[in-house]
Amino acid sequence: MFLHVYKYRLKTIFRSRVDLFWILLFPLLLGTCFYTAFHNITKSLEEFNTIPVAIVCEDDADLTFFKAYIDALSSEENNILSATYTTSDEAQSLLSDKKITGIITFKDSIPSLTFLNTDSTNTSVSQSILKELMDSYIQSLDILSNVEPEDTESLMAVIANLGQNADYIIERKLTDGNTDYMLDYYFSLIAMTCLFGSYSGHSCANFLKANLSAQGMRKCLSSTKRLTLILGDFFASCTFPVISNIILIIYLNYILKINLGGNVLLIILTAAIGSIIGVCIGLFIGAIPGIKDSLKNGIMTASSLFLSFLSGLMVGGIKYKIEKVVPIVNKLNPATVITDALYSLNIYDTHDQFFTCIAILAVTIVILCTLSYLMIRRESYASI
Amino acid sequence: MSASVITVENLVKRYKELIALDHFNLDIKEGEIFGLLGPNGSGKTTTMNCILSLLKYDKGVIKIFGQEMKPDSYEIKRNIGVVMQNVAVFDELTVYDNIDYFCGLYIKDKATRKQYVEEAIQFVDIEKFKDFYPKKLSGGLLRRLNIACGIAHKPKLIFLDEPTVAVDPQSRNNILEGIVKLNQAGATIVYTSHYMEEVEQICTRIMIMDKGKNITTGTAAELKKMIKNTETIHIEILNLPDSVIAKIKELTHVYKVEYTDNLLKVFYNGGKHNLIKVLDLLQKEDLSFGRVYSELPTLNDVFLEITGKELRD
Ligand SMILES: Nc1ncnc2c1ncn2[C@@H]1O[C@H](COP(=O)(O)OP(=O)(O)OP(=O)(O)O)[C@@H](O)[C@H]1O
Ligand SMILES: [Mg+2]
Repeated sequence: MFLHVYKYRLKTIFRSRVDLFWILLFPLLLGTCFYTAFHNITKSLEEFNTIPVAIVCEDDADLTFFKAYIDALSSEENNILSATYTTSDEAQSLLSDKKITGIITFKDSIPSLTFLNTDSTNTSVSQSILKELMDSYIQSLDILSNVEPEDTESLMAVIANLGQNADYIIERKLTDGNTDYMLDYYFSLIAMTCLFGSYSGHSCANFLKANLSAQGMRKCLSSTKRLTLILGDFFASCTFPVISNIILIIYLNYILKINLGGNVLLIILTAAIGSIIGVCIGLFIGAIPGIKDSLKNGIMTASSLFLSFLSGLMVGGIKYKIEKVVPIVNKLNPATVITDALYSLNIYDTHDQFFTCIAILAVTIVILCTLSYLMIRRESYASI
Repeated sequence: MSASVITVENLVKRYKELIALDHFNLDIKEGEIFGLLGPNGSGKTTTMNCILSLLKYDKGVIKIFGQEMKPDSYEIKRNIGVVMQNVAVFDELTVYDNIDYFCGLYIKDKATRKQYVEEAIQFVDIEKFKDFYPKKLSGGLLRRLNIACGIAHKPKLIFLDEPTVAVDPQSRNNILEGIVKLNQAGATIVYTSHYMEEVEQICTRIMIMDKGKNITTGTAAELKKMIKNTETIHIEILNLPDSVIAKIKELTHVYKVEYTDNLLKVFYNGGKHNLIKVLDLLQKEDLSFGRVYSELPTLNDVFLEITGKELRD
C-alpha cells in the first residue's frame, strides 16, 4: 500500500506544473543567472598578471623578514609580484620605461612606494594592490616586534598569514569585493530550493485532508490506514525537492564547474535535510483550515524568498550583519542554517560546526513534523 | 425481510447554531436502491458524510453491516464505495491511473486490481479515454470517471451523491442504467438527488427529507398514495366564465379548481373517466378549448402537499 501511495503521489508531483517550475526550473534558472553575473569576475581573477616591481634598499636595515614576505608574494604559489632588487637610479629608469609598476624603497625598516604618476586620484588597480600589500606588512610589524628573532617558526607563521591576506586583497581589489560572498549566493540558492519544497508540502496537506479537497475526502474514506497514506504522501513530497536539489548541485558543481567546496555528498545531504524542512513548512501552512489556497501559496513564496534573502540570496553578506544585531534570527532561519552548514563544510577542516547546523535542522524537522501530523491525522471532521 | 445494511438512530448534527440533522433515523436493507430526496440544503450530503464518519456528529448511533461505524473502521470501509457530489480526481493523472490509484487504496493484489480497473473502465464506458487527462474530458465523461473511481473496488454498499448534476442526457442515462446494473450485481445503493424523476425511475425506496428531518419514507407508489391528489387535468381555454368554473367544482372527486393565464387546472382525489366528464361539461356549455392533458401526481406533489413548498426552488 505504502509503495502504491508513494508512487502515485510522486507521479502527481512530477506532472504538476507549479511544483516543476518553482522547485526544479526556477533554481536552475537563477543559478545560471548567478553564474553569468559572476563569470566576468572569476575571469578577471584568472587573467590577473604578476605585478612587476623594483626593490631598493637604502640602508643596512635587517632585510630578512621583508625579504621573506616579498619571496612569499613572488612564490610560484602566490605569483603576485615579480621583484627585482636594484639601485635607486636603475629603478627610476625602469619605472620611466614602464617596465615596472612601482618602486619599493626600504628605509628604516619601512617600505615606501613610488609610482610614475603622482596624481593619487588616478591610481591603477595594480598600484592600489601594491599599496595594500605594503600596508598589511607595516601593520604586521607590531606583531613582529613581539616575536623573538630566533623563533623562526612564529616568523614563518606570520609570513604565511600575510601571504594569505594578500590573496584576499587581490580578490577584493579585482572584483570590488564581490567574490567574498559569491559562494554564499549559491548556498542561499540551494537553501531557497529547499524552502520551495514547501510547494509540494502544501499540495500534500491539501490532498490528505478531507476538509481541504475532494481527493482528500476520497482518501479518508478508503480502507488504507491513515498513517500509511500520510507517510506515503509525505515521503513522495520530500523526494521531489531532494531530487531537484541533487540536480541543482550537480548542475552547479559539474556543469557550471563552480567549486562549492566540501564533499559533494555532504552538500547533498544538507540539501536533502533542508528539503524536508521545506516540505514540513508547506505541510504545516497547508494544513491550516480556512485560508484560501492562493493566499497559502503567496505566504509560502514570500516567506521562502524572504528567508533566503536573509541568508544572502540577493544581498551578499547580509547574514553577517544580522549575526551582529540579532543572532537568534540566524539560528531560527532554516535558510541561514542551511547556508551555514554548507559554508562550514567549505572552510572548516572538522565537521563539528557542520553537525551543529544539521542538529538544528533536525530539531526543526521534528517540531514541524509533529505539528503537521497533529493537524493532518484526523479522518473525521466537525465541518466539511 | 432482508438484513439491514445501514441503521441510523437519533442522529443529530450541528454546524455551530445550525441544526443540519435533527434526530434523524434511517434503516436501509440489503439490495435496496435507497433514494434520499430533498431540496438544496435539506441535509442529504450531511447525512451521507455522517454515516461515512467523515463528519463528527453530536448524537446518535450509526451502524453499517451491523457494526458501529467509526473513522478507523477500515474493514467496513473496504466494502463501501463513494461517489461524491464534487468530482474528486487528480488532474495530473490519466483516467486509467486515477482509477488504479483509488482502487489500489482498497485492493492490494495487483492482478485483481488490474482486472477491477479494466472492468470499471468498461462499466462507465470510457475505454476510448483511458489515456486522457481529466482536463480533456467533457463534463459527462468526468462524472463517469468520478463514478469509476468510487466503485472500481467492487464495494457491497455504494453511496452516490447527486452523480448526475450538470450531465448531458446521454451520460445521465448511462449513469442511471449503471446504478441499476450495480444493484443487480448485488450492491446496496444509497442515492441522493433533488431530481425526483431520477429517484422515481431507479429507487426501490425513497425518503423525502427537509430541514434535516425525515418527512416520509416509502416506495414511489406508497408515497403518492399518501396524498389526496390522484390526477390533475390541464385544459387551455380562453375566457372561461366564473359560472362554468363553479359548475366544474360541483363535479364528483374535484377538490380544487385553478384558472390562471387561460389555463384551467382541475384537481381530483379519485374517480374514473374524469377527463371525459369535464370535457362533456365544456361541450354542453358550448366552449371551445386548446390543448388538454392529464397528469398523475409526482413526488413534487407529495412534497408540496406535506411541506407546503416546491421541491425545486
Ligand atoms: N461546513 C458547513 N458549515 C456550516 N453549515 C453547513 C456546512 N455544510 C452544510 N451546511 C449546512 O447544512 C445544511 C445541510 O447541507 P447539505 O450539504 O447536507 O445539504 P444537501 O441536501 O446535500 O444540499 P444540496 O442539494 O445542495 O447538495 C445546509 O443548510 C447547509 O447550509
Ligand atoms: Mg449535497
